[in-house]
Amino acid sequence: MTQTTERAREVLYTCSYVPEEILLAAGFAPRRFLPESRPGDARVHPNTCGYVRSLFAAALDGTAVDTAGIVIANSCDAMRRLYDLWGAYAGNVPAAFLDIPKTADADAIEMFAVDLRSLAETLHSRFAGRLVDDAGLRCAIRTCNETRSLMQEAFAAQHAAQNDGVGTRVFDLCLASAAHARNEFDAAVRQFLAQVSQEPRSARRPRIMIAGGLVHRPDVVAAIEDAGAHVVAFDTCLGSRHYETCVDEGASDPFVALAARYLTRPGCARMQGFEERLRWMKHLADESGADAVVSCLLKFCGPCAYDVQFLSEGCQRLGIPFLCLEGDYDGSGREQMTSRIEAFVELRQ
Amino acid sequence: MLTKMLQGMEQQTSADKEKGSARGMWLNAWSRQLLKAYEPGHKIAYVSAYAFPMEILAAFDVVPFDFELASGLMSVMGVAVPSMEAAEHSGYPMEVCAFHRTALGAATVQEFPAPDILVTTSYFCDGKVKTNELLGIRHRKETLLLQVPATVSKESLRYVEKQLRDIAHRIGEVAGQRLDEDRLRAAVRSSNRATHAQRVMLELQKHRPAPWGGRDLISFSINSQLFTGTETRVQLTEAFTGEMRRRIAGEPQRTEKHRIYWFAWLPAYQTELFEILGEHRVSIALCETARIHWDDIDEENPFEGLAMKCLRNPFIGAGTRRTEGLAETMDDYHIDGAILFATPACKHSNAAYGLLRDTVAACGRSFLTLDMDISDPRSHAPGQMRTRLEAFIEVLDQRPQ
Repeated sequence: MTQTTERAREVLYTCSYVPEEILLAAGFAPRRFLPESRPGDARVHPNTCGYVRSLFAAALDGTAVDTAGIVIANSCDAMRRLYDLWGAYAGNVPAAFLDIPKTADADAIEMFAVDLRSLAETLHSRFAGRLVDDAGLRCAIRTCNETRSLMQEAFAAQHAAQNDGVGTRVFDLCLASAAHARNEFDAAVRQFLAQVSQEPRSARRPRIMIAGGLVHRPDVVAAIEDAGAHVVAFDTCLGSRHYETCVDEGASDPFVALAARYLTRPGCARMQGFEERLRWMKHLADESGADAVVSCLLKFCGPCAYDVQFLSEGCQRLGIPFLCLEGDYDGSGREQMTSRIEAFVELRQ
Repeated sequence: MLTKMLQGMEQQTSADKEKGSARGMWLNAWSRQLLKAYEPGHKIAYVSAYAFPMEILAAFDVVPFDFELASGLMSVMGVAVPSMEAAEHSGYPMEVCAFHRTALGAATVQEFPAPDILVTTSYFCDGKVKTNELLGIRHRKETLLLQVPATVSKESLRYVEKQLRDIAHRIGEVAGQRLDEDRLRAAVRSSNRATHAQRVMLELQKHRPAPWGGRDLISFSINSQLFTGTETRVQLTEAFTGEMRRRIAGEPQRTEKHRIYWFAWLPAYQTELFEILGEHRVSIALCETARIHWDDIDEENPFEGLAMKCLRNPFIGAGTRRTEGLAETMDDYHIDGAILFATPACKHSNAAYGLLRDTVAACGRSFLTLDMDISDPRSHAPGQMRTRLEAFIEVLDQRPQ
């Protein structure tokens, strides 16, 4: 795959809860912004997560300057503040804020639909995008649903697979979706699906599910595979949660359909629903035959920090061994992480 | 353990209360309110008193219990650490706010009264929402979340108003009562009267030297909200304003060298923070938690008024809400500098520090970020705190008068 050449028409976004459909319908190429780790700027408090610090540093060093703008979602308290900082200090790249309810009841869906309409208007008025109409939005919904269906197939293949290195390849696809043009990405997924079924199967190995919020570094996947296990599922923001559940293409109001899909799909730590998250984790473990969970906790991620104990205890209760690895956005502490993974996998062999 | 300490606090403050001391009245009311939550026969509603419109709870026969304020009180009394350790040993990382670790640990040893219903708001902060839900799961009780959007619009107003009606209905079901509209109107009336008294208090704080300040001002501005919608809140606020008037009338008082605007919260455990400021004749003339961001609530349309009160909370939405009109306020209160109390887990407050600092600098004032935990004394470094405060005061000393 080649990097997309339409940089000037890209709109960056920071969270899996930002509907790519609206960005597409406004004429932009959505790109999940995952900048390289950078030293934090003095205006960001040091207790802020490395992702937010790196996003702001990227805003200041001009990394985003060729894009049409950025959509910052109300993913967490720190992201809200990133939006403030972006507006105050990185005014050369317009930023839009997308509020997201923490609940998924009918009133919350209705409110979120209002916010999505407002986002569409902002993309037009401030990002110089196309006016989003229902027809354009329905077209974008079909496009994204197609990608979702393909990725759901890819995850199903990963769940069923016993091939060496499949975890890494699916993880690479997840990362590629953040950085490549949609048609190229869809082609890459199709190529993966065609290849994976033809490949020889290796001997039975421990099967690990990776869980967490933003898990973007391939090191953890590589470390698990190098330790002799298969990575069979990704319950992460870039992984299966991002693709689960298609938007209702036949709904009378596409904004409401989008709001419903985004709020009711398997939620992350920002949403209410500890028990639902545990149920989803159990479902994924059953689907993939995972023997154990490796949970990646991003340092200073507030919402995820509150989830770890509940999910760990819940998984143990369900007979699923659970390992929590805390790491920073920059990937530091790799050796320690590798040692812990090796010991954890060894216990499963 | 907590109930015994509360009984002690109630007894100790009774005499002060009888003498008419506002502080005595406040601490006595607080201890009685907390003790009531331990008495059998009451319906207990866990609530975030500083964020949820307490007027609604005041319309029902439920006892509000704020697990964050209770955790803070445990820290004040020096008994929070075992609860925090219980939470940490069960797997909660140190990124979880110390208040919440205390509450989660206290729940495991049944230090807190069991709730019948749990109510909180989506803002501020993420951690409080999560702790509320975790405690609801532990106690197998319903958790209600008031979702407050970041912007004020007719849709968001309608959304919050509808949620408030639904929440009131659910509280009524738990309390075994129908909503009494007259009682809600009375609660709103009390709330408006308390707001008027608070306006008087804020006006009096403009006086030099400030007639009040320090730990008590910040603490009262936060935890007196537990009484919002009741006559207790009116009486307490009026008692404090009465004392402030008497202090002003009885001048000369101590001299005042510098006046501070205080952002965010305060440490609950024993520290010399406010004593150090006092030694250097630095007053806290105004704290942001004492400011009034809402209009009077229409008694005839209480849900809409309460919804608007929530939507206008400065900790919701853009961080600039915290700094709106700050230059004028700083002039009005003769402010020389500002301190942001930054507890590690409080991302929604801390992550704004760059904006706060630059806004304060643009107002021509000095700014200090005071990194200290809100409730965990184990990480407290008194020497470092003193050094930072004294360095800040030196900067203030060098300001042209």
